[in-house]
Amino acid sequence: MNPKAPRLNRREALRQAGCGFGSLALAGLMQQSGFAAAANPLTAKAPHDSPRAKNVIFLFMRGGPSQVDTFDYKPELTKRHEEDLGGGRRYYQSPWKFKRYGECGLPVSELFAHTAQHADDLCVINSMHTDIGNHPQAILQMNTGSFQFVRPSVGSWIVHGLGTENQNLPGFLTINPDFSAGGARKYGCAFLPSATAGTAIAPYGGGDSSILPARLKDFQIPHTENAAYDRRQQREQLDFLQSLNRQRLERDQANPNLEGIIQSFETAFRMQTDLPELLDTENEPAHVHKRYGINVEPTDNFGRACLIARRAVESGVRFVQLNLGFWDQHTKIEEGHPKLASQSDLPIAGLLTDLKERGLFDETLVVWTGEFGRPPIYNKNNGRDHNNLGFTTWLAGGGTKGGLRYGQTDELGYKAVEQKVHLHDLHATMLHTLGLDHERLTFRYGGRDFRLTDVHGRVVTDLLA
Amino acid sequence: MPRSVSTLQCSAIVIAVVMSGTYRGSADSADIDFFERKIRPVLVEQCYDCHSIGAETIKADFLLDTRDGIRKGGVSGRDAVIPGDVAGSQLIEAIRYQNEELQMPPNHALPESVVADFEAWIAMGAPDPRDGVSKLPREIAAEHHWAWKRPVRHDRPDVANKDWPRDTVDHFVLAKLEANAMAPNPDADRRTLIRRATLELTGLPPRPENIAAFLADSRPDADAFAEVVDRLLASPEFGVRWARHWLDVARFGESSGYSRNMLYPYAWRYRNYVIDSFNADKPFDRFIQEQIAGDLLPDATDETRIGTGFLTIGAKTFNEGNELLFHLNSADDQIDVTCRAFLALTANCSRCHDHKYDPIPTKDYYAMAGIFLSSRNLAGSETNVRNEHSEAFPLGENGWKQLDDIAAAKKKADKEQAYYMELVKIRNDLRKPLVDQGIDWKKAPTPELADAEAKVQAQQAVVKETKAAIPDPPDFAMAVVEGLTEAEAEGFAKKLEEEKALIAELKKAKKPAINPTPKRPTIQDSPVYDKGLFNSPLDPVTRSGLSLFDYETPPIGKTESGRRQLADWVVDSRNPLTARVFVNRVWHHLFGRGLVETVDNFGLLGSAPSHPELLDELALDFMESGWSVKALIRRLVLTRTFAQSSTYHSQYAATDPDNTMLWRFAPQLLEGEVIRDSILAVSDHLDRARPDGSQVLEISKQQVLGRQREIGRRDYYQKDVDWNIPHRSIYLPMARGVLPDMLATFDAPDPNLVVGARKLTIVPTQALYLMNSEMVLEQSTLTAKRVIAHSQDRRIDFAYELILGRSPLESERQTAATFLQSNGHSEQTWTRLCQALMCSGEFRTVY
Repeated sequence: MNPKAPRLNRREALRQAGCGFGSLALAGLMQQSGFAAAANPLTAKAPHDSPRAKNVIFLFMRGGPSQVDTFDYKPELTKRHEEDLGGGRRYYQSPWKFKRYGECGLPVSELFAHTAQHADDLCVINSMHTDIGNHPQAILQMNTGSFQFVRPSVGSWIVHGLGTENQNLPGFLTINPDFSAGGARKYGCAFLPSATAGTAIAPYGGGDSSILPARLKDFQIPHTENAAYDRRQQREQLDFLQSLNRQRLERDQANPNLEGIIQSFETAFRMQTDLPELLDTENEPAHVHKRYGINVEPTDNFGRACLIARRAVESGVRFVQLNLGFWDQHTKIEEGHPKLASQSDLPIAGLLTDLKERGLFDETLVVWTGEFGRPPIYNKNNGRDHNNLGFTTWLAGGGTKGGLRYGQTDELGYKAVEQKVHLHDLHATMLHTLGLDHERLTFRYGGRDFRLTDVHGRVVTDLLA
Repeated sequence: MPRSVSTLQCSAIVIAVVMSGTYRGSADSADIDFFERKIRPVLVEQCYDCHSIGAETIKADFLLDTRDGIRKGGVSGRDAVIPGDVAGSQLIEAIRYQNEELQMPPNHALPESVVADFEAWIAMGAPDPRDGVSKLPREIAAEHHWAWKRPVRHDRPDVANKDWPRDTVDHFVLAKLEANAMAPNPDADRRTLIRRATLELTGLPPRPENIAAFLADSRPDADAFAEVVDRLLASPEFGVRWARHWLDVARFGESSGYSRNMLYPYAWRYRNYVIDSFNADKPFDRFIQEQIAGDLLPDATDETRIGTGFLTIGAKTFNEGNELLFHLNSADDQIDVTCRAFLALTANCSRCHDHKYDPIPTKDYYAMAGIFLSSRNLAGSETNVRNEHSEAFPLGENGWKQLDDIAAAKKKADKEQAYYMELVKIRNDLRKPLVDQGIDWKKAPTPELADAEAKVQAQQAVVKETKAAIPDPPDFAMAVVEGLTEAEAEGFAKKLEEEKALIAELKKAKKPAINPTPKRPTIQDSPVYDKGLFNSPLDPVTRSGLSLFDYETPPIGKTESGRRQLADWVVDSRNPLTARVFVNRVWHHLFGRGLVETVDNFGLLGSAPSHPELLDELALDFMESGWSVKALIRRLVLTRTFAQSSTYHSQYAATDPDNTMLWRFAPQLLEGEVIRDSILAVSDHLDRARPDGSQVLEISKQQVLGRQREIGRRDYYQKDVDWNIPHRSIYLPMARGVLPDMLATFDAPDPNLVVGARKLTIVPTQALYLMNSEMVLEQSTLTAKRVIAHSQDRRIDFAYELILGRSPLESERQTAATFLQSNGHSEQTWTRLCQALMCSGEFRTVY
């Protein structure tokens, strides 16, 4: 898209559309003139208010990481260590050491020693809580705001509200989503236009951790390769097609749908190059690979995911969701948590460094969260069960306040007690950073205006810089 | 609480008791004087801005500008003023500023003396001369809403252009156009017309030979076209096309969706039932009755019972731990689909509070919920947690008996098997000493061992025989049946208790467990659940349909769920919505936009009809015709309104861009199903026959343990589906959350939602599919072969005829010739040409 393209009149633009030459300018032109906007829900739109962030990277930790073992340091728990609660249950201190990091002195466990290097940029919310302590429902609620009804996902709402900056790429990518626990509803658009739904990159089945996510290394986006023709042949064919379309449009005189179709083919032609290119991280320099832990285990896959996320927001993708799990260690948490932390800690730190280095940090909101947390209690299997009454989410970038430890769970890290932040408040705050008012971002369906936050949600202004 | 207030409160109660008979609006002049001096000025000054009928926005639905309103209170549901009860009156709570959540006026507390005045006023019985019933503006609107009134006949309007109309429909349309100084477009040419009708009625493009026949027909246009339409209506493809429209509304899906996505192996029977119903032109009122109460009709058959699948194919949260909540959610889905699909009402808004706009109080919601909660859902879906829905409905005259016979035969076989195992043990025990002594028992068995061996052999045969005698299972369907009557429920509960004991015993003895019989619903009224919370039941409400019409639901007996009566209530000729809603759906599909644009919402938030008289006319005629869907569609397709060309008219478009007035036939985008089926039809590789059952059934059979049949678990389902079938798209597996990629890309509706009007978008991923997918590449190769089979000079024309249903214009022929010339007339070039035609906007559009 070339913003400096000469302003042709509409008919002139369409005359050129089929000819290959000039067609690149067309999409931009149509965009600028608001032309065919009705047919394309992805057209970039202005937010309600002045935004802090433009894009979101949502690091979704499926299964619920334990807060007292990661970002919610609880010295009191050490004093009550091994206090018997019956049935094999007992208070149990974190088996991982905490250290204070940065000028702010944020305590972080050794599981996230790399991420902790960014302590002064993290906005840690220790007082998160949600309604249900059951994975499928809680996962849906974190991703759509509702566990009971079919609602659009957070990413779809945001793309609906803002459109997207790069028409050659989807507005919402979700990397390594799994099919269970709500399946595609986690990134679905429900009643919003289908173009706002997440495009799944390397989805995989399986609700348990024994199944590895589809490897990004080998993943290929469907329908971006043409098995029969090379690009030149395709371009010739496309020129022929656009010439037919143009002749038809001439006769129709006005047909916004046909105009939209003409545009969609031009975009698709570029997308089939741009989208695989986005996912192809091979050409990134060695020091970047190293930063993300690519080509090294256990970080390779999540490192690639993080690097793709950076490349995506850099290219104007509005919302990128990364999925990692399953943090659900009811048994032997001391085996499960380090496994997942070691896959993701270095890549996340690399992502934050990279965003900063490339000047993307301030305009990108990074969110790290599970669907809920875990109690400060070991069960008889040396694991921790579910806990929706208190958990930790952290934000970074996007105009959030770095080096902040906000809210508190009780002294043992069980229940959020101070400056409580509900999941709806998190959603409202995420939208707010993007300049979207969660009470005004609505969509009328079946005679009623729907919102991501339904009738709830409060912007937690304390979290904003 | 300060002492003075409690004293006041006590005396207030006394006053209230003493005076309750007298204070009903009339009050003596001293009291009224108190109100006028102390209360009214405060109300006007401090409250009316937000709480009177003249307010710009009325806050919290609370109007305190009448006696009725100030007492009734607002959205909280609590009485704001209870004469004589100071402490109980919410108004006092608000102005006292003690409740942090409710402080009025919002910016400053009233002076203590004023608060005291209000308390005194309420204590004296809240005398108030302001008469009149308090109604919110929307309540006033609701009373006069057009959709609650029955359709009535209107005179056929006069029109200036008397030659144009062919049907009364045309008179109504033309009258409106003329009133707006517009004229209809001329008729479309025959090629356009046959393509339009064929796509609309069958979801497929016309075949070249049908086009040729229509063009060659020398009769007048109307007669020739009527023959085409009759042929299309009689073709089985008609049912496929129109069933898909209905399946969108019926939120058809082949799995439970939500958090534990379990397959519905028998949902396909409902899908086929819908196709067959449209093809048979089943009267639409009957179609409705079957879907709500097909099991309860006097002439019920397997077919009508399958119809009730409508109620149970919805999404379900199978791992909902709370049993009551699970059932309430199921009932909610059933209320939603019933009210939205047939009545275009959003009744499920009333689950938690009275409907904010339409006159549907919460008690109406639970009156209907009681009907569904008294019915048993047979989803045939084995689940992880809730196994109430694991049973499927056995078809056939003796379906249930057949199941009993199978159970009995299995039990017998188990018994024989157990005896066999005992005999084996005896034999093995006899073998052991021989083995220990190193004796070859095969060659030298003891007589006892030989005897034991013979018994084992004999019993083995018996086992084989009894196993073989287990009857084959009947066919199954998803359906809804009646719950247990109270008397039955008692016996059933006892049976479950016994079973529980037996299961415990088996467990203790480490014997193979048996599956517990699922619990069953009992026929009974449902309580209202306060704010929709399952743990806050209030009084039960008598089962019935909604109360917003001027006739009642037929009485429901104690031993029946009431679905039969609900169905009768829906199809009653006095129902102002049912016929209107359906004719509007049909209009929407044919013309691309309903007469009422919000096809799923005829309530206050829905849009007003563009042609109200026409809508009434069609609804009344539809009912009088015996609810014939085919007759309705035939009538509309044969109007001149439908026959208009789609030619653009800049002046009309400026005033009526959405074509509300129907000055032309507006071009419409086609759905993914139609695009896919058309591609297959064009290449002549569409298998029009109906496949057996559904892949979902076959796939679910592969997984022996039903509980593992969760989509996504160990890649189950995704890897097993063959998306590449030659059949029409309606037969593609439609498990929730795993829709066929192609259809999802082209805006297939979310099967969790009732969707009467798809929102079709144009996005690049659709173009990627058409450009690069294996399917389209393959079909364009096959199409090219068809084209090449023609002589050189006919090929371009034939390709256009086949794919777009018309001849190319001279300029188009030229463009094609140039493309062929520069790329060589190879099969590959023809393939690219055919693919380009399939990618064209015209191919995806009905003109």
